[in-house]
Amino acid sequence: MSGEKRMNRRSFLRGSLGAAGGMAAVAAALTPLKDLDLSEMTVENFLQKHYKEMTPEEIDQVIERVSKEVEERFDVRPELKDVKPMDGVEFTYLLNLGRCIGCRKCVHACVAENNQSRSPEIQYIRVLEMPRGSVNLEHSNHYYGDKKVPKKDHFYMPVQCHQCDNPPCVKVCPVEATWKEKDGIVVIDYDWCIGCRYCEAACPYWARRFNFAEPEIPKKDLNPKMGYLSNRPRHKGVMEKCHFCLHRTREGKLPACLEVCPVGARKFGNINDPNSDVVQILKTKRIFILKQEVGTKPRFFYYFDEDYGFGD
Amino acid sequence: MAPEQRESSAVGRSDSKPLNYGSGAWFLGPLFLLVAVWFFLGMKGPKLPETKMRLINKAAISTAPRRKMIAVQPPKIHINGFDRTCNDCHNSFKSETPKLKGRLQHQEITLEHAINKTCYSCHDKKDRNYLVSLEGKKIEYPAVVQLCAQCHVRVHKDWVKGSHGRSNGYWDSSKGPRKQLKCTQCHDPHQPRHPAMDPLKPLPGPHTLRMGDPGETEAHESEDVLYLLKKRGSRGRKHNAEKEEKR
Repeated sequence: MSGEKRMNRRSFLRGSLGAAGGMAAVAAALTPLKDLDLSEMTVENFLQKHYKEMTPEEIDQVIERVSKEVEERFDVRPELKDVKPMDGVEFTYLLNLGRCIGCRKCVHACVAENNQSRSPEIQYIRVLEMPRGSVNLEHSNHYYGDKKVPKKDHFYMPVQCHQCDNPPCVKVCPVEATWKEKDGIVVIDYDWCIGCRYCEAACPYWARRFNFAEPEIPKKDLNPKMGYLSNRPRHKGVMEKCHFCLHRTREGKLPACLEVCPVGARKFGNINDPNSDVVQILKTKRIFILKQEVGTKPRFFYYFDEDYGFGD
Repeated sequence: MAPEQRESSAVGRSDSKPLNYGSGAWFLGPLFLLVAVWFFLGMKGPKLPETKMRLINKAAISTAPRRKMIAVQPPKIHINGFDRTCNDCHNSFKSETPKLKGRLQHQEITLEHAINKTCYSCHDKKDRNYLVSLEGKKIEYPAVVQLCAQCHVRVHKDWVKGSHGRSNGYWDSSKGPRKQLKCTQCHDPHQPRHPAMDPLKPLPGPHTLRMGDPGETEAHESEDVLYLLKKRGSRGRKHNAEKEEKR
């Protein structure tokens, strides 16, 4: 054929130079793969089903596997549990805007409780400082570092996951790694998340956080009381967010951010129980819903006290 | 177009002008090599600035009440290795009309409670182991809430409903106890102030890279944030400064 005829020394050298260059480029482009850590990629891990499709036995196996992983990583045997939602319970969270002084104790109690990465730093709660008289989130400051808070003529608005009843983050997840449970908490399966960060973009409250790097937590600071869908250690490349401390609250306890609040601005309870304090507050106080107009139906409300008259 | 036609035209082209893979693509080899070099260099490209490990200050996130209230009846005072009650002294020293100035005992107490200006508004004059209500009924120290509630009616109502005050423990009373802190575990009864809470130093704020530019605060002047500011021309600070000026 004509092709064979034309294959002379020059065209052969040209062709092989091109081929060699191409192969070198492909090899160079693939070199980052040699740094890939495959230690987590066990057969069990790879074949793990979606959380909702797992039988109780399979969940037990996964919990055993994750516990071992945590033990290898942190030298601590965790008390890892898969805590299921309680029947007839729907959680709601209330925050007294008139009381909050912006001390950020809630932020740090949350980090300690929920094993958030210390480096790079991840915090679920953002406390916004705003001048009194308006709620302008665009011009709020979440980096305030005054010597003392509260600052004069300013108020503070802590924002965390609002556990929406109509959650946009759940709708955009392409793999159903995040969903709303029956007690209203929006959870994430960290083993199912692919890290596309659509949910982060969809959230109007800026509540979701992404692990850009492998999270670092000092071994001695790890909280060993863990829930599968809540505070077990995460890996690089997955989303995380506030989950109302579900490993505590589903066992009847109060969330960590609430217990630490020095002014008692935070309230938590079951909205289905008419005698609970949250229902009493919702009935009697002035309530503010953040970004009500976006229609996410949050479970997190802000409220105000009336002026008591004694200066208290 | 019929298949024969296409075939014939293809054959015709190969006859007249055969495909040549060598001559026109000579630059592809060096180009690929350049791309390879570029990829290799790119691997050592920009990295996120390293952040310091920021540890949690456990003392700062203690859930303990801010004040100690007197939780036993009668109140016990530890003097010279012995537990005493108030009456152990006050049975001898009646101090019927105490002047707030010139006290020999209890000098650490400053009474600044608005119109409530005498000891005996709250403390029982005859039995010092007890508090006293406005009607003269004895109130035990651990039940101090009853005393405060006489005047602070609306706050008390809110406290009962749960909207005022701190609580710890369990939201679900069937699972465990819920501790609702009492008035004097946060407020000093002798010097209640507004605001009731002392100003605190805020704990460090967010340090994540995606949360915008920090404002003019000393708490965030660490190296990596400065690095970012330099890189991005410190837009946030100027913006904030302009806003301040406008105000």
